[in-house]
Amino acid sequence: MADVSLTEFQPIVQGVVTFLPGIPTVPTFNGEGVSDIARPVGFPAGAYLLTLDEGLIGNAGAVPPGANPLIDNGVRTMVTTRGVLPVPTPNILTIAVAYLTSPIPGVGADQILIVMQTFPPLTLADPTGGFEVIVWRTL
Amino acid sequence: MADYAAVPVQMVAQGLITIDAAGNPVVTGRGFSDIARGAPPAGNFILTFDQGTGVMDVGSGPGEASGIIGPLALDPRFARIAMQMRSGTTAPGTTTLSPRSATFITTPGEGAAQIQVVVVDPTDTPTDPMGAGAPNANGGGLEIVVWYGNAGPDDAQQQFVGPLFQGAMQFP
Repeated sequence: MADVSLTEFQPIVQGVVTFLPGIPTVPTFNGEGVSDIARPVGFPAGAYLLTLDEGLIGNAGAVPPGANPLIDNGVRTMVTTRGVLPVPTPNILTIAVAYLTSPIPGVGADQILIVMQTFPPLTLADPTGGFEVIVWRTL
Repeated sequence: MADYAAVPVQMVAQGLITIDAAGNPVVTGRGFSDIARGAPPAGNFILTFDQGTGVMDVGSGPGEASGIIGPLALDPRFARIAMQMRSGTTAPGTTTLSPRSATFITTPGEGAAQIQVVVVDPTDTPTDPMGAGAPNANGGGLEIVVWYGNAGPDDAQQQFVGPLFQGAMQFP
């Protein structure tokens, strides 16, 4: 194919988040690049705090330092919700992502926050079938 | 890593749309040379690719010995766009925006040198992805990635490199 690539780009995280039964349900991450997933304190649904792996892949220092919202940090995230059969109707309308900077100077963002809401009235909610996530890093 | 990509795609542009303190859109990243508001202006942005994006040799090969280089823009059949909102100011980091659409702006004989994206709120009202100079309750900016693949029939003679294809794609 023609080499039209203008930018070197590589995935540092890929995985699927599903939920273990319980009260509240427990999010679990299956994939690469994330060492831990948790719900932010005080938000039992719709919000997920992903901690990047130390070292490659998902280098905890791969996201350059900066103030949120990080401008031109070279990180882009793709999130797709999953539904459940027989009809995987989506229950999520809004999805937001934030890159959380480590308090350790020079480390950069070592956590990613993903937040989802249902259709109006907008309310924090988990997607019925979990969600897929890919995080890309460019040079 | 193992080469198992059956459908090669390449990333040609990635950007982050923000709004500066004067209320003007700004795009940072790679592969975009300009951003302007569409009409109506709110939540409506026209992004121009870098000059030279999608340059390919269309003048070589059987019956085409001129070696003309062009067109200068993307073939929208092969381009794919992904977008993602960044968190706004409402804890824990929500956005009020999600339905988004994009289209390629094409010139006959040249291809798509621009894309137009529109961001709307749940009432279908075009809305900027952040406030002027700072995130607001709606969001903290909009990420965009543009991918390009050459899976069309006119690329049947392309030779792929990789062990998966070598056996079938080697020619004298």
